[in-house]
Amino acid sequence: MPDNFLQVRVVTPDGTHITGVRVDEDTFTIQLRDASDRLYSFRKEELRELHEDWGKSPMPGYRGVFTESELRDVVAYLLSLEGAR
Amino acid sequence: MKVLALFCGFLCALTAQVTYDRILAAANEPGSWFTYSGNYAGHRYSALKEIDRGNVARLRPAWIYQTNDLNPFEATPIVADGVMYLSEPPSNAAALDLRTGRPVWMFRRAVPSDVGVCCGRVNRGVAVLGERVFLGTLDAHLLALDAKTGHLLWDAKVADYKQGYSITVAPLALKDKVIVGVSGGEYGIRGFLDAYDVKSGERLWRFWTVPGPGEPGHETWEGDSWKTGSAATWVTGSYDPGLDLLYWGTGNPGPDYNGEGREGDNLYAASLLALDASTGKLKWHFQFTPHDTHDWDANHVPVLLDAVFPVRGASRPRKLVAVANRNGFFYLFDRRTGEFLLGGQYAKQTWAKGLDQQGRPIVRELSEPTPAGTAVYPGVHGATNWNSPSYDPATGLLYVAVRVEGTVFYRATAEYQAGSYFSAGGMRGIPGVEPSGAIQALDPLTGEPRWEFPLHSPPWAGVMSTAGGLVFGGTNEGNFFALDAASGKPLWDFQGGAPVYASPVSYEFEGRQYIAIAVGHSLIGFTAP
Repeated sequence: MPDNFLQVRVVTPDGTHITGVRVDEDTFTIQLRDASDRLYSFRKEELRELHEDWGKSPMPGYRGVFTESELRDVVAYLLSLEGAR
Repeated sequence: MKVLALFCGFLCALTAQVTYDRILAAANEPGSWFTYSGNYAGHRYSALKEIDRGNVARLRPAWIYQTNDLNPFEATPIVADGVMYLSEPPSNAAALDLRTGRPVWMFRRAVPSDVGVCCGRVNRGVAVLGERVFLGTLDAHLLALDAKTGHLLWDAKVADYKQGYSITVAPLALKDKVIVGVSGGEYGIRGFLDAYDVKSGERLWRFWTVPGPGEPGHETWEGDSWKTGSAATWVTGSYDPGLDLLYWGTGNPGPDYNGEGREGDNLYAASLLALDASTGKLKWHFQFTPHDTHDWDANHVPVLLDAVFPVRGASRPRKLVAVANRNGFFYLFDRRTGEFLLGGQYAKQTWAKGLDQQGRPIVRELSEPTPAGTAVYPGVHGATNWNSPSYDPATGLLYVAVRVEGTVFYRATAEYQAGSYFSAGGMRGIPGVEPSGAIQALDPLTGEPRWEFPLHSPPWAGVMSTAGGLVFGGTNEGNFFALDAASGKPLWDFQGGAPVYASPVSYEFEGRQYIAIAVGHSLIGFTAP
């Protein structure tokens, strides 16, 4: 994951739970984008909860779906794709 | 008639003089901001209280002044008699009309393109005394300008910029002198602090911050290493007129990250100096970080306060000086004698087990920079930096902009070449760790924190407290904000759209209190309508 990548979970004043990726943040506000590409902007003081999940990603894991050998095959295939330059 | 009255009022304002007596009695004119820190004691405190906890939420920009320069804007403005005097990067100055923020005059200084600076082509402010405005320049000159017109009155060459010297500090004017220090700690300069005659520009004294042969302290340098020992003086100090003592911090020894070849404590680098303001003679010194190898300059504004303080069982009024140092420790001294009274950790640090009875750090092993890199807290930019602290005499608290940031320090070798970068190593952030910051309120008589307001990133903005019960500060993300001085509770914030690299001031104009701060490349004057 990129150094600055951060998954964020918030609970809004009306109790809505939202999970997304941090787009921007300062001391008083935070902006995030959820899985449906919707942008949210919050003042931190207005949120009921704010959790910053360093090291986590909303991308689904492949552990248990592919064997190690199958994973290596997928990676090898992806590396073989040169595409347009 | 009204227009005539306004014109006369403006003209009269421009002809007033900021005398030494007025600066001494700055507390009697809280509507002005006469010196870098607002008073000689380094308090950065405003006795104005029109803007308070109850109405600060109404604070709005009244005007914005643009510098038209893309270098960081770090200046503290001076305010007197309806006019604001400020420096602009790289070495320019302006006087602004307080009603509109429009320039009354502008002074432009051509700076040679080959001036070497470690950390931006910046300037932190001017000094004003009498009818003169004093400006240090990147090519290491001190200028006197006519306060009414901005015309150059004299130009004193302080040092040779081709040897690595530059000036970024706001000078300090007192009595018949203007005090100015130098930058160049990453260029192997031999540091000093100078005093110049305000009328003629003649140099009155010089104190070398790295002692030469035969001088006390010279023995703390190995061989000829003193010649490139640095100990720059790039942040404005404080002054006690009763004792006639200047208190001024010094920067890192050179080269920064490799202490081999300069064995010893390396006096007076990373130190607080108390100098006789009339002669420049050293009264006392205290070295915070002996033989520094982490670039922990002690270039802070020393905060002078008078309080009852118990020593050896006896409590009596004392003249004190407090410093929250870049190395992560807080210190309190008797400012008459330099006696170390107390010290302790105020921010995250991993390099020392603590301080001994004399205030000397008990250094942990394996904190030295190495070729492979050593991760240390605080980082190269310190637990705080040049951005000003503030002391509020009402709460008795010291407010500090704190950086929570580590650095991986590398040691290398470097060959000195005059005017070239000379750090003998380097640094980078600690991977996977997002730095943060805080505004911290400390009890200066105990060193204990009273409250802390967390910041998203390590701040480069200083703080100012006011009699309205507020502490103002800024962030790298463009927030300018006010906290409750007693509790640290946030009360107001404004998104200025660019990093805040400066320290705030407050003044009064036409019966209304203003707060001014440089944000990005603009100076913004706020008031509460």
